[in-house]
Parts: sequence; structure tokens; C-alpha cells
Amino acid sequence: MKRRHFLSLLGAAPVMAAAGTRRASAQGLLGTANLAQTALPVWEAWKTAYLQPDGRVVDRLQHNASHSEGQGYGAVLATEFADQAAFQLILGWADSNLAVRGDGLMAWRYLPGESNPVPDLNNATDGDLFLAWGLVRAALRFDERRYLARATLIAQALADRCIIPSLAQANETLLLPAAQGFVHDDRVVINPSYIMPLALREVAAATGVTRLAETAQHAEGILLRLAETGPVPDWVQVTRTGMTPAEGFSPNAGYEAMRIPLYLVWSGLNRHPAVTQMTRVYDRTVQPGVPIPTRIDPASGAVLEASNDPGYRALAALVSCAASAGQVGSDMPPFDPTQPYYPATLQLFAMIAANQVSPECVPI
Amino acid sequence: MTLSTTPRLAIALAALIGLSGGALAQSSTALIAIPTDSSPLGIDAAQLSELSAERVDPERHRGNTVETGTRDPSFVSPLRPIAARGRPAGSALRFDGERRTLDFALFVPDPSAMHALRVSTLSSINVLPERSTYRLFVNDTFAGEGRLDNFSDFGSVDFPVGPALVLPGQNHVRIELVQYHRIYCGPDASFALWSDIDLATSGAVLNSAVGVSGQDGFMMGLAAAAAIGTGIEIRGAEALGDYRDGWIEQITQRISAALGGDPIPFRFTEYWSVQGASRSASRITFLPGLQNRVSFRVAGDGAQVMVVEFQPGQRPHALAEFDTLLPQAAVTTQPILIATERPVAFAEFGFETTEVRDRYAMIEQRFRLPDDYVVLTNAKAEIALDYIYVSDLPTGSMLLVHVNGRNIRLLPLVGEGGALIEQFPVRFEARFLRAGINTLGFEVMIPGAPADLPCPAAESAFLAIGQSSTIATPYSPSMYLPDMHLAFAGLVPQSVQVNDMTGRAFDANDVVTLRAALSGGARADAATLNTRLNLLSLDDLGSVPMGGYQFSRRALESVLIAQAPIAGLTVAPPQHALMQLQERGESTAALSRGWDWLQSGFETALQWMNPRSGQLLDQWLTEQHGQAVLLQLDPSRPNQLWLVRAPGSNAAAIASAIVAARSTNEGPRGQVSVLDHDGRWQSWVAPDRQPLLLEAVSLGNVRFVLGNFVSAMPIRYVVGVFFLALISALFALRLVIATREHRQ
Repeated sequence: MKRRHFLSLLGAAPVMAAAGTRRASAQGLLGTANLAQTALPVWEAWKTAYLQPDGRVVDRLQHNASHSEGQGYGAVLATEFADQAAFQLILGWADSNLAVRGDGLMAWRYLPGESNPVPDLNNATDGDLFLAWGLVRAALRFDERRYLARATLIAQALADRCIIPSLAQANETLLLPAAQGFVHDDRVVINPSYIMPLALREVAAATGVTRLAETAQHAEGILLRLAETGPVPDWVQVTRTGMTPAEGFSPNAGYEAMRIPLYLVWSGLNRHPAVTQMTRVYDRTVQPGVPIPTRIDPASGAVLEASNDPGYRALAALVSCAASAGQVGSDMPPFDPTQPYYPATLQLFAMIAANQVSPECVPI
Repeated sequence: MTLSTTPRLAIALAALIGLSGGALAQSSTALIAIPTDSSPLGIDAAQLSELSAERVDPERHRGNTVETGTRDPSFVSPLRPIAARGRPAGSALRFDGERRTLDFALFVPDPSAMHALRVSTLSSINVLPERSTYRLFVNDTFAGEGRLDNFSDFGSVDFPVGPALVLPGQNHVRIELVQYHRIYCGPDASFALWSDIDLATSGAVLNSAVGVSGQDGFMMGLAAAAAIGTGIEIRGAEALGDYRDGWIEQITQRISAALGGDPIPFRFTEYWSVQGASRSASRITFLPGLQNRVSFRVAGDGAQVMVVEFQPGQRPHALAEFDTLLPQAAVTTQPILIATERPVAFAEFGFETTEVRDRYAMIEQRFRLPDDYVVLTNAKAEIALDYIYVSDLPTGSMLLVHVNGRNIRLLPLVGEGGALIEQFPVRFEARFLRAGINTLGFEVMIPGAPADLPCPAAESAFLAIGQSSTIATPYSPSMYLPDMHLAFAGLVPQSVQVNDMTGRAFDANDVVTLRAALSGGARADAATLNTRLNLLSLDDLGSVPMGGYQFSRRALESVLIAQAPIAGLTVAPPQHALMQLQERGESTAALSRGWDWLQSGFETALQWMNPRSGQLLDQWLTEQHGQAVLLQLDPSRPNQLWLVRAPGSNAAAIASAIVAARSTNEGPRGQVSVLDHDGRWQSWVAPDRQPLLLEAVSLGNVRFVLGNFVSAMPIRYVVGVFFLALISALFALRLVIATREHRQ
């Protein structure tokens, strides 16, 4: 009972923040704003660019596909902007087209125009987690208890199918990238960017599926160890002897791993070593007019790929600002709906994270 | 201050969980059912791997990547015209005619980083590329010559400019352009010549924008925002609370006064915004902070930003870094005030001896007469012109002399070629002159010889007009003729007045832009004029004092909104001839026409004797179309102006037209002035306005005062004197009759 009480409190504060409670920041006097009022044009631009009228979030760069990730991201965004109609559309489309596994989780991808638009029934844990998170937040924001029941179903399925004990440390759990395909006899492949501590904790608090909160706790430790030598890579494998780059997977800190510092900052962990490592990279490479690194060699820190998409610049600006004590104002650019879905969505996440955690990091 | 509540609480509670996490994990490890990796999907591991291949592809891109080495890092700090043009900033700048010179400001933060001066041009197809060129001067030093040979798209030329020519900070660039018609020669050919300079892509080419930051970067950003017309963004102004207006006016007016030229539009944005069609070059961002300070940074979108941290609740304070950064306010010289009743040499009001080399040229020089100068009589002013022209000019060559756009003399350039003509008298009606700014114009037309071949290259001057020429204007008593020009000349930022309904037509951005635009170029005595510019919405026309004039709201709407004709005020389209024939055949209609003719004649006579301005104003308004209307109808409020704008019009363009008009006599005049879509003021002067005497009547001025009063409305005095004479005659007649009766 006590634990349930604590967990309820754990979830309450971020949801309050999502509902627009104003708070003052450390460095400045700016407080958390209600983005549904102060940034409504940004949300409208995102919807116009990436959300179809039927509720499908489209990633045009990936052959106009939709992913459970996009639906989950869209659900969280709709909740943040108090747009229940959009939320319901996104949820409805996901339920109709991706929730075909029967266990509460979604198939990870939808390919429009194919005879079988969902050829792979495997899930993507982050998509399910964000959808559950969106449902939890929507339950409070829109005062709809039925969303919580749906979130509980997903949370339980995640806990049952996507969390396993680590091979390296028996008292540590791992968040799998999917229910199938990443666990082998001698190793488990994980994607560190699927770890979103705040989402795991809020979902755990609201649904009572405590294993998610425990996994968040363990995952922060895993990220800490991974960040000891440099930016956290996209994929790693966990063996009985420790963690190493995953065979056959990207060893770089790329489009996947760039979310790690974003999620950590959003979770209030501005001083986490994974944030610090990425801040070092950004401090070294980010300049006005120069493309933002999007793929980095963790060992050497060399920039392998860069982009001018404003979303990536926003991400770098948030991380640099949040990690810097005393900085007021960040270098986040205005939202540009002409960029691809992924950086655009990350830009909105950066905005929400800044607003909730570091309000002094408003764009200058 | 402390960390925000949410993450702290989350962290704290997470820690609580963490404390028990180990135990939880240990106790629950056995409870966590490890999912088997055997697929419930009915596929084997190989198939699963194949399906997941794209998902885990190490080379998968999730954004637009930039290939290294493909990006040109160079950056252009654009040219900015020094003079306001009365048009929205940012558009291409047009040179028309055969020869033009324009001056620009150019900001270069670091001359060593500048490797070229780029000029982008586009010319009319009529321009002969082999001979048409432009010459470039940087800080009065020749920097290069380019050819006008781009006819379909803008094409640019980079002129190597070394650090020796360029100063750090502000520089002066002059472009002298000469263009020839490719087929014809003469005034008509001259009219067909134009070349545009693209301001957005012309300017100092810097090696890279990287490193351009701080105060220099902000100055360059300001110059770029002014040059390309994106304007300056003001972010976070809402946080200023009660002192918002004070802060905004302090900064925007300082910037506008310092930069001069076309007014810079200002626009307010939220911290979280969507990228517009054009990127901001410059921004001012307000952030509440624990101390007052200013810093200069580069934002994520490349905008050069002045970040103003302020302590909430405190009055605006001086920004030392900002004040020292900007140059002193640009000095906008007003035309020179000249003396009356004596010949004044052209040189005294700034005219320098001018040679004319063009087949068509319009030379204008402005001067100022006292604000209380009113001559309505047929008194004469006189120009004594010194000029010379070459012999054997083609037949039809002429020099036209204009005063305030009205032609006062045509001088054929024939017969006396090669000889200096000194003090040639050109007398004209002094009533063509106005209080305030006047324009003296010389229009030269030299036909081509032959006209159907391009003009010869490097022609020598055809004509010269000497600065020793003089103008003499007659005496005027101190009088005032109701006219908005005086109030207009006194416009300052504080003049702009808003009321509760202003917001329907002018938003906060517009008001700030207008106020800032008025911060430079005012007359020295502007404060004494105490001008009030009331910004009105169309719904608030009832608050305009009419001063005895009348006009309908529909007429004004027809100027600003509708193109639809107004019933009863427009001319009916011509009827078919057959219909007219039928009409003529009807005797009753003929009577009706006769009555109409009589009625019309009576009304015309009545209008001549006692003009009813309201009707005339309505009719005049129906012929106008524009983006704004300026009103001053009540002569008892000479310091009050009312501005109504068209829905959707560009406030920056209106501001620019106001700024441009402050130093020209083409500004608003009379009682109503419409700013047309070309940025020109079309003015309506009430025919029945009466002069007001501002000094005591004396023996010395009585004749001139009476002359002006009578000339303002001669028919009234004719009728009055006629009735006086009639009464006198009747009285005399009665006296005579009475006297004779007495004698009898």
C-alpha cells in the first residue's frame, strides 16, 4: 500500500507538469508554460505535416511507413497539447492497424500499399512504452479512466514479454528492444535509446506495474556504465562478462542513440554521464551554420554523418543548455515542418523537455 | 532558485524506489517470467532476422544528411539602400533611365574575412549589354566595373575587394550605372531601360558565417534584416509585463534612428515558434533574469540575437552595450529654408552645377519656404537661369522647368548652342509655391539622332545648369492655409496614438514599426508642432472630426477595400448608339434632358460660387485606390492626423512611404491623402479652404492679406461687393429721390 502510494506520487508530478503547472527554473525566472497555449502553432504545424486525417503518423523518409514509435510519440504529443481529438485518432489508428498481436503490444511497422501492410508482427518496445505513457497522461489530462486500463494492458505486456534479467548481473533487468529476436543463449542485444526513465516510471506509477520502474532504475545504471568511455552507442549486447558492441548492429552513436540524452534530460537527469558525454561532442562540433552530428564514432568521437535538420539542432541545443549550469536561453531553432518526421518529432520532444525540466532553456 | 519540481520529485521518488530497488529486484526476479525467444509469430529465426533487417540497419538514415564538402560556407552581408524608397524593404532595387547613382550602407565585421563584393543584377531586354555597365565604389574608391548582361535571371559578379578598401563596421558603397537601349535612342528609349539589383544576394561575401557573432554579428544581422526585408524579430516581450512598451520603444526606435533608410519592420514572436517563409537575420530576445545584462549570441536558426536579461518589475534601464554598439542616429537632412523677397542662388539650397548626358533626365532640387508662407494672388516669382547647351542638338530638344510638378516654362534647346545663357528670366505664378517643402525640376529631352539606332557611346554633356541661377519669391504675410503637411512634418514616435479600436486595424507589430520609423528624420522643431497621428480602424471613422467636410464611409471603403463601383457616384457606361437614338426620338425625354441640363448647369454654377467640398471629396475618393488614407479635415485641429489603412496592407510599406515623404514635397498634402499601391501620395485639397492670418494687419501687409483672402474664394467677395454696391446704389437712389421730393 505504501509502495503504491509512493508510486502514485511518482507519477503525479510529471503529469501535473504536463497539465501546465507553472514552475520557476533554477537559472532564470522563466517557469513551465502551458504549451497548449504558448506553442499551439507548433503542434498544428506538426499535425499538418505528419498526421493523416485517419490518425496515421507518417514517416515519409521511410517509404511513407508508419511505426508503433510514431503512434506512441504522437499520442504523447497530443496529450501535451491537450488535443484529445488527435489523441483519439492516433490511438484508434494504432488499435486498428498495429494492435494485431493479441497481447496488447503493437506490431512495429505498417507499410502502406502492400498486400500485407504488417508483415512483421514483432513489436518495438519504445513504441509500446510511449503509447502507454501517452495513455497514462491522457487519462489524467482528459479525465478518461478507460485510457488507464489500456495503458495497464500494455504495461503488463511489456513487463511480461520485454523485460528480462540481465546475463551480466542477476539483480539487474534489461529492457528488450522487442519481444522476439534479441535474446540469444549467450547474449542479449539491447537498444539503450529505448530506455525512457520518466516514461517507465510514470507508467509504472499509474498502472502499478512496478517492474517498469525497477527497469528504469537499472537502465540508468546501464547507461552510466555505457557512458564511461564515450557517447552511448545505438546497440549493445549484454553477455555474462559485460557489455560490448552488438555484432551486426550499428556500433555508432547515431540516430537511435541521440535520443538517450534527450530522454535523460526529460527525466530530470541533466548530470547523467550519458548527457555529459554527448554534451562534450556537441560543444566540440556544434556551430551556427554547421551541420549537426547525427552519427558519431563513440571511440574516437569522430563525426561520421551530419544533418541540417532543425530537429537535431534543437536536440543538441537542449542537451547543451540543460547540462550547462547558469545558461539562460538555448540555441533551439524554430520548428520547421519541412524536415522529416523523425527530427521534427524529436524537436517537439526537446521543446517539451525544456519546458518541463529546464524552462530557462527557451530558444533565444 | 532550485531545480524544477518535476524532475526533482521524480528523482527523489526514483531514489526511494532505488533504495528498495535491489530488494525489489531480488524478490521479484523469480516472479519475472523471462519471455522465451521462441517466436509466437509462426516464423523461424532466419525469417525474423530478415524482417528486422531494415529496422536495425546500421546505415539507416532518419534525416536529411549533409555530404561533407558540398556546402558553400560563404556568406553575404547584404547591401542596404541609405534612402527610404517608400516601398517595402527587401524588394529588388530598380535603376531606371540612362544613368543612375545609388548609395548603400554595407556592414563588414572583419575586412580580412571578406573576399569579394557581390552584385546581382537583372536588366530589361532593351538594355544593350556591350555598352551598359555599372561602376562600383567602396568608401569613394573605385572597386570595379560590371556589365549589365543578365536578362532572364539574376546573375552575380564578385569583385575582389581587399581589406585596404573596406573598413571594419559600416562602409559606404556607391553604384553608378549607365545603360543604353539596344535598338533606339531618345527619351522614349530611355524610359524603357531598367536594371534591378537583388539586395538579398548583393553585398560583402564573407568566407563563412562561422565566427561572425557578438556585437559585430548583431550589427550585421540588423543590416541584413533591414536590407532583405525580413525585419527584426522581438521574442519574449510578453514577459516584460507593464514595462513592455517602454522597453520596446527604447530599443526599436534606437535601431531605426541609427540605421535610417527604409523602415525596418518589427514583429513579435513567442519563444516557441514555427519557422516562417524567410529566416530571421536578427532578433532581440527578452529573458527574465536575476540581473540586468545584455549578451550577443547566434541562435539555432542563424539569427544574430541580442539577449536582454531583465529583472522583472523594474523600469527599462539603459543598455550601455547596445547604445555604444549602434552608430549615432543617421542625420536626415531637411531641404534648406530659403529667404523670400530676394534672389536666392541655387547653390544656397544645395543645387550644384549639373551636366546632363542623358537623352532623358529629370533633375530635382528641393528647398523649403517658411511654414507660414501663403501667396494666393497672381504675384510672380522668378527664376534667373544660367545654362548652356551644345550646338546642333537634334530638333525637338528641350528643357522643361517645373515647380512642384507643374510645368512653368519650355525652353527649346536650339539656336544659342555653345553660348552661356545667363540669368534667363523664367517668371511664374507664386501661388504654385507652397509653405514647407517645394521642388524645382528640370526635365531634359534630347531626341536621338538618328532615333532608330543605339545612342553613341560616351556622349559628352548636352546641357549644364549653373548653381549661380537664382530664384526670387515674393513677400507673403504670415498666414496659414489649412493643410496636413505641417502636422506631417512634425511626426515623431510619440505622435502615434492608439485607442481601443485601433487594434482592429493595427496590431502591436504595426504600432511598433510605425513608431520606430518615425524616430529619425524629424524636423528640429518637431516637438513644438505637437503632432498627433491617430491610428483608426474603418469601424471608427465616426471619431474623425469632419470640420464641415463630408464623405461617406462607402467612399473610403472603395479606396481601401472594394473595387466595386458605388451607385450614384460613378459614371454610367456609354450607351449603345441605337438606344441614344431612341431617346432622342422621345419628346418627353428631350424635355427631361433639357431640365437635367439646366439643373446641372445650376449646380455647376452653385458649386463654382460656393463649393460643397463634401460632394467633391466623395467623387475624388471613388477614383482612388490605395493602401492607406491620411485625413485632416478639421482646420481647427492643425496638429491632428488620422490614418486609416487597407485590410491586409503592409505596415512597413506605409511606414516607409511616410519616412520617404518627410523630405519630399510628394508627401501628403491638403485635407485627404491616399497612399496608392505604388507608394505615392495622392492628395485632395479642398477648394474652399480659407487662409488664416497669423499676424496683425498693418499698412504694410493689408494689401497682401486682402489679396490672399479674396483670391482664396474670389466669387464670395465679388458677390459680396456686388451686393454692397447694389445696396449702396439703392441707398443713393433713395437718397436722391428723397432729396428731390423734399425740393419739390
